[in-house]
Amino acid sequence: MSASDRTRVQRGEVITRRAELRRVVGTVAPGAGWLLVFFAIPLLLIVTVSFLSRGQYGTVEGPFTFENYRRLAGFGWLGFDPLYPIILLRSVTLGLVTTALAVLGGLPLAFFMARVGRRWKRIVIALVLIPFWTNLLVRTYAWQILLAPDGWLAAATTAAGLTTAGEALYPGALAVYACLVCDYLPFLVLPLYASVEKINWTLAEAARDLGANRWNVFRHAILPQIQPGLIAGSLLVFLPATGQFVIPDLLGGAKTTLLGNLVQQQFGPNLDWPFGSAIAVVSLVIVLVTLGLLARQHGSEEELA
Amino acid sequence: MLEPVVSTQPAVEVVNVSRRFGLCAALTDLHLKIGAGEFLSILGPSGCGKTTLLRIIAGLDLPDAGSIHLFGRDVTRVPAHQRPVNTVFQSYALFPHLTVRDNIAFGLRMKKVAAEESKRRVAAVMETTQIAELADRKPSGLSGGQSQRVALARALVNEPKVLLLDEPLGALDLKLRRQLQGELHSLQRRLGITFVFVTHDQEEALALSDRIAVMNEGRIEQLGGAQELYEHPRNRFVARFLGACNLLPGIVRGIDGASLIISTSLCEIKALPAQGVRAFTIGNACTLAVRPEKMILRDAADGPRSGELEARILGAIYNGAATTFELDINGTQIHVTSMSGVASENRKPGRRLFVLPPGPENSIVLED
Repeated sequence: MSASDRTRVQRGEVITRRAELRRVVGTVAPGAGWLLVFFAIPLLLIVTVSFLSRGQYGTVEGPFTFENYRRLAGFGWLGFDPLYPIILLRSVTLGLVTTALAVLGGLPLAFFMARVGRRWKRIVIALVLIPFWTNLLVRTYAWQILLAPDGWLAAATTAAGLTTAGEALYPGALAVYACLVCDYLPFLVLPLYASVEKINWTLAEAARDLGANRWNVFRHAILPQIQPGLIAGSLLVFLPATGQFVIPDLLGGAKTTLLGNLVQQQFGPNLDWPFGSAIAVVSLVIVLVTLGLLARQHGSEEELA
Repeated sequence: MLEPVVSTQPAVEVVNVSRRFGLCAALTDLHLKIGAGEFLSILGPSGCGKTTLLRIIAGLDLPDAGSIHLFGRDVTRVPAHQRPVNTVFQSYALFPHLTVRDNIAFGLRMKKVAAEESKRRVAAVMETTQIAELADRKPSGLSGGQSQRVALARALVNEPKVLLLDEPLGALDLKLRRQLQGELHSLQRRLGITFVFVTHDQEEALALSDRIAVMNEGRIEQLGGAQELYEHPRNRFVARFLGACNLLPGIVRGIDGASLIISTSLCEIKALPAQGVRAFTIGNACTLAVRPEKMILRDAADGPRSGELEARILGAIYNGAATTFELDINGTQIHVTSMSGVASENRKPGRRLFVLPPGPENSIVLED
């Protein structure tokens, strides 16, 4: 009898090593295969292309070069021009501000959802999820209607003396952020709500008992407990918001270029796939480094705990 | 050793406190005075309102009526973080993201105590509670007994005037519980802090406390020292909750000075009425309370002596130090505990034993 045929008991089930191996392969293979064909190989292609050059007619040609990355860092033919770093920074700012606003709005909402009774809870969760049932573009155009010069919101701000009659509330930063926060709030609220539900409120009482005022109770007894949900939710907002360009285009007036536009231009009108790939790789690296740092901080806490 | 704090003012005074949760009354018009430096236990079954009372004293709950005074000052509306009391929670409630040292220092940090002094006080209290070597661990790496010590240290470091303990030893195994009881007791004596100790373990209450408040259904049934409660229970609840007790229905047949003559299904027994109950008159129905160990058992080798009753063994529970017999005497079932006096071969069901009924000092007449 070979070692691989040895049986053992796992979760109450008697199973041989070979059967277990078969089962693992059976469950992992479809997903792994999908990822390999549609994610890993294309990603490898993008990374490769980012080190090649654009041919005269938009073809991808050799030789191997770092030129695309140099260009992205701001070193072009005309010396240093911070255009691309600024676009990068602008996109990250867009993502950060959206995340911050979503956290400000999402925190009270998550606590509210955790506090309401069982019956209302389902209704509130459904309300939070409703935006998902509509296409992003439809929602964004809806904002244009809502913020139009003859809309009731514009009428209200005119009445309040904030705008002049016949003036639309878009394009502008306010409209962009209003729409972004509305779109991405559910991504933050749902994981946050899951954390808030699990809060051990005795810790808040203990902090109170030890002399903590309201802010310190939140800071030292509540915040550490919801931190995992807050980080997960913030990432789910930050990552797509940073790459977002449709909403800023439609509600921001298409006056500024963002990371999303830039990539789209390279693969579309400019036919510069190598440069587009370099931008994609750089933004991917930024995201991975951020995730790595967060995971390491969180991991070191878990390790101690 | 510190001199006991001499103060005419009670450390804690609970005045007419009531608290309801929906239809359920947790506390009903409750009065309680706790002296400075006293170790007071609040003893009662689960759901009797003892934890609610503790939370109201701590400021974690608000009474519907009545007031709480700490050293003469009305603190009913003072928020928890401004009261000079600290709580040791039943679940310990240690902050999982902080080390043991930071957990203990938390209260001092909130009060902005200088770093040097904080460090000194934290080190001192860790020494007192014998957890110095755990300083850098996180709560998830602690055993139950260690967590308990950390919770205690975290409260004590603030030098509270009153320490509230909510079943702090409830989650620990028996041996560890006994050990920590001893430590708590000597710690309280040494520090002179007023301890209010909530428990449902009567042995714990008897062993630790200066006084015990026995609570039932939101009221204090009786307040007194351990011996007073055990030997002079005021009603059936206290008699039965504190230790084992035989409760025999009876009728008052005669009055002989301070004592009463009660006829029961066993025999006529002379007994003293409980303190603080109404006067009995002849013909009143009453309950006679007799502790199982207050009756004397004898092997039935030579037949009954004068005054002894014949009993048949229904069952016996041997617990090492003593044996408790369930006996049948003329159709009445009672429990009698004997330290010795019955040979092991005579402990079997069906055997005969002789029981000497209790004297007046060992039986108490309670209201029916």
